[in-house]
Amino acid sequence: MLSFVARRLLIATPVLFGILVIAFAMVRLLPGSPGDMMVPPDAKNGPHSETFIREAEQQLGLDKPVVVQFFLWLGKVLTGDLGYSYSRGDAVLSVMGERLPPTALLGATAIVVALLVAIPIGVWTALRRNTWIDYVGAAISMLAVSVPAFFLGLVAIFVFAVKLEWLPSGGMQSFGDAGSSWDLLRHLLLPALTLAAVMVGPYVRYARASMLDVMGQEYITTAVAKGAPWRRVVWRHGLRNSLLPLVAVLALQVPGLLAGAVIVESVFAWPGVGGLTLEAIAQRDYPVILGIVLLSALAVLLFSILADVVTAWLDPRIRL
Amino acid sequence: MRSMMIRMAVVALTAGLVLAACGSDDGGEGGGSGAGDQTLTGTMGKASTTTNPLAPGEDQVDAYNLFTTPLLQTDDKAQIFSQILESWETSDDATTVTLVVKEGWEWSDGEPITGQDLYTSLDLYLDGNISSSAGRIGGVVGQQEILDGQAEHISGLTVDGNTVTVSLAEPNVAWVANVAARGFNLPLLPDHVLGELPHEDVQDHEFFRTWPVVSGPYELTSYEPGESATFERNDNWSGGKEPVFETVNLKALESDQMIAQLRTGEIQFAFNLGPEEVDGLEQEGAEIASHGGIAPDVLGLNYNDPRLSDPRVRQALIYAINREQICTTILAGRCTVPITNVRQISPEWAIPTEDVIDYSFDPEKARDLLAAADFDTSQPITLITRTGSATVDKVMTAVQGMWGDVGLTVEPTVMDTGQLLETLEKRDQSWQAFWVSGADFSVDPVAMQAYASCGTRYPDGSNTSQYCDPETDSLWAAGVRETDPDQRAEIYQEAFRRLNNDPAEIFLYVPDMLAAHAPNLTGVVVHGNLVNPYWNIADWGWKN
Repeated sequence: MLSFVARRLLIATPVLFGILVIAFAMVRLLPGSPGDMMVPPDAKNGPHSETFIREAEQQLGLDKPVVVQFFLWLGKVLTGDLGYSYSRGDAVLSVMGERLPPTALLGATAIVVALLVAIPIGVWTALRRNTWIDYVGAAISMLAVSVPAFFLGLVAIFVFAVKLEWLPSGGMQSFGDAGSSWDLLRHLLLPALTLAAVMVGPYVRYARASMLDVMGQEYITTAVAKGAPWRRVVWRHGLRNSLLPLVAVLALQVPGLLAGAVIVESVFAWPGVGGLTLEAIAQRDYPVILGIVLLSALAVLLFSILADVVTAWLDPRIRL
Repeated sequence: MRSMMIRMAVVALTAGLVLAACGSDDGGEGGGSGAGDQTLTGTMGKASTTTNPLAPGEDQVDAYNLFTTPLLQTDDKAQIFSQILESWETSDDATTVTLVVKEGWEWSDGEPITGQDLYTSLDLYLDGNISSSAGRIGGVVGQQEILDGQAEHISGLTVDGNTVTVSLAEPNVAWVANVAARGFNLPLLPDHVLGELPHEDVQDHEFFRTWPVVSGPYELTSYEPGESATFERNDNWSGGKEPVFETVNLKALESDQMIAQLRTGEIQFAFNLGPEEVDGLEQEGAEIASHGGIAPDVLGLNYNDPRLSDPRVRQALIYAINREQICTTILAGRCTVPITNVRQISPEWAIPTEDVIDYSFDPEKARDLLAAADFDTSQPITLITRTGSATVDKVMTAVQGMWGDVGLTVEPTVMDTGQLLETLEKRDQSWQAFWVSGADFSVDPVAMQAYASCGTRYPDGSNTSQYCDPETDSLWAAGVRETDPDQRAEIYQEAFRRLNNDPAEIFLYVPDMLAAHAPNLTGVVVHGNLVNPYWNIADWGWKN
C-alpha cells in the first residue's frame, strides 16, 4: 500500500508541475494587469502616479520577465510561501486559511447530506426497478440536476429566512455570537442543503445504476439461493459493492467543490474560497489565483490517490 | 427495508432544519431586534480590501466613515466642511493654504490632536512614493524633491502649533476642493504613532491593519476585507456628542442578500441599492433615503477613432438616445438627466446655461447629422459594457435599440474592468463606446480637468475617451489659477461649452444614491458619494 502511494505521489509531481506551468501562463494571459486594477484611472492623474505605479510593480515583482517571475514564485512555493495578495497585502496562505475551512465545512456537510439522501433513494429505486417508486426517484434526480443552485438558494432564502423567519438568510455566523456551534449550524443549514440538493441527482443515478449492476451479479444470486436473508443480501453484498463507483465519483467531486460552491457561497454570503476566487480574478490578484489553483490541483491528485486506497479497502480483490 | 430507508432520508433532511428552526430567535442579529438597541448592523462594499489610506484600492473603504476623521470632506449638499479643522483658507494669490486644527480634540488613547498630526498626515499623503493620493492632491512645493530622493519630507509644509501652512508650487484655488473631494480617503493620522517613522516604513505599517488609535466616533475591532467589520463606541470621541450605538457591525453583501437581510431584520441599513429594489422594500415598510448622485453614468466615445472624428457623429449618438425615457422607465425616475450633456453636476456657477446645445431626444436630427457627416452606418459600432448590474444591462439594451432605430448597427461586447482597461490602454479603434461611471463632479469644476485634458489621456490619467483640445486645456489651466470668482465661472462655463459642442462622452443620467433602513433608525442622511454612506454616523440613533 505504502509503495503504491509513494509511486502515485512520484507520478503526480510532474503532473502538478505541468498544471502550475499552464496555470501560471493562463493567469498571465488574462487581459488586464494587477497594476491597472490597483491604480484606477483617476488615481493616475499627475506626475506622482507614474512613480507610485512603478514602485508598486517593483514591490510586486511585476517588472521582471514572466519566466523569472514563475521560477521565483515556484521557489517560494517549495518553501511553503505562496506570496502576498496584491489587493489585500496579506499572505496568500493566511487569506486562503481563512476561507478554506468554511468551504470545507459547507462542502463536507453537503456531501454527507447528499449521500444520506441519494444512496437510500438510489438503492430503493434499483430494488423497485420500473415501478412507480423508480419513476419518482428518476424524476427527483432529474429535477435536482435541472434546478440551478442560485434559484434553489434564492427560493430557500425567501421561504425559510424571509417568510418563515426560521433561519438566517446568509453569512456564517451572527455578530456577537462567534464560536457558537448552534449559530453555525443555523447558518450552515440552508447553503448546505442547497448544495446537497444539486448533488443529489447525479448521486442517485450513480447509486441506482451501480446497485442494479451489482444485484445482477452471480454472487448475489448465490447468496439468495443459499437462503441468506434479503436484508443481508442487499446491505452486505449489494450495497457495499455498489459503493465502489460512487467512491471514485466522490473523489473527483470533492476537489471540485473548492471552487464549485462559488454560486451557493455567493447566494448565501458564505465566506468561502468560491467568493475569494471570483474576487481574485476580478482584481487580477495573481498570487491568490495561483494559490487556489495549486490547492485545487493538489486536492485532485491527493483525492484520486485516496480514492484508489479506499476502493482497495472496500474491495480486497483490488490489488494496488 | 423500506421503512428504514424512509426514516434515514427523513431524518437526514429534516432533523437539522427542525432543530435549528426551533432554536431560532427571530432571525435577527442586531439593532432593534436581535442583539439589543445598542447594536447597529449595516452593509459595506464588497470591493473594500484594505484599511490603509496610503494603499491602492483605498477608495472603496466606506468603513472609514466610522473610525476616522477626514482632513476635509463634503456634506450631502457638496459643501466643504471639516470636523477637526477650525478653518481652511487659501491666500489671495492662491499659492498658500492655511489650515488650523480645532482645540480640544483627542485621539481615542487620550493624546491631544494637534497641528503636528495634520502635518504628518499631509506629509505622508503628498509623498508620491508611498501614497496613491499624491497625484490627486498634488501641486505642493517639495513633492518632486521627495520623488527624486532629495528630501525626506514635503518642504512645502510647515507647522506652528495648531496651524499648518501648505505652499503650492503654482497658484491653485482648487487645492482645498481636491482634498475635500478625497474626503474619507484622507483621514487624519496620529503623529505620535507614525510621525517618527521613515515614510517607506509607514506604507505597510501594522497600524493600518488594526487602527489601535482613532479619531472617529467608533473604534475598529475587526475587519475582514470584502466580508465584515465590527466597531465599538469610541468613548473618548471629541465630536461633542456620544455615539448612540455600542457596537456597529458591517457586512459585505450582494444586493439579493441585502434585501433579504433587511426584510428579516438581520441588518438595519443598506445602501447603494437599485431603483427596482427600493420600491419593494418601501412597500414592506422600510424607510428609503435617497440623494442625487455626484457622477453620471457615462458612455465614453472613442475620440481617437476616425469614424467618430466629426463632432456631428458624436452629437448624433447623443440625440439618438432617449435618456429621459431610460431614466423614467429603467431607473424608475430615481435619477436626473444632464440634458446639455455636461458631466459636471455642481457648483451651479460653473455650469453654462446659455449658448449650449440641448441634447433632448431627437432621432430625426440624429439621422440628419449622421447623413451630413457621411457616416457609414453599415459598419457596426462596438459598444463595450460590463456585467454585474441588472440596471446597466437594461440601459445598454435600450441604447442598442435606440441607436438601431436611427440606422446604426451595434455590436455589444462584455468585458470586465481589467479587460476594459487593457483595451483602452491600446488607444486603438477596436471600439466606439463603453460604459463607465464614478468619481465626484459636485465639489469644484476642477474635477473635470483630469477627464478631458490632453495630458491625462488614459493610461496617463483618467481621460478614457482620449479627448484632446489645446483650447480646452488652456481654459483648465486658467481656471485653476484664477482667483476672481466671476472670472473663474466664465472660464469653466466656456470649457464646458466646448465639451458640449464637441462631446467625447454621453452622460446618460445621474443615478440617485439610494439607501434603505429600518423604520426605527433615525439620522440617516444619504450622501451622493457611494463610499460615504456613514458620513454622519455620529448623528444616527434609534427612534424612542
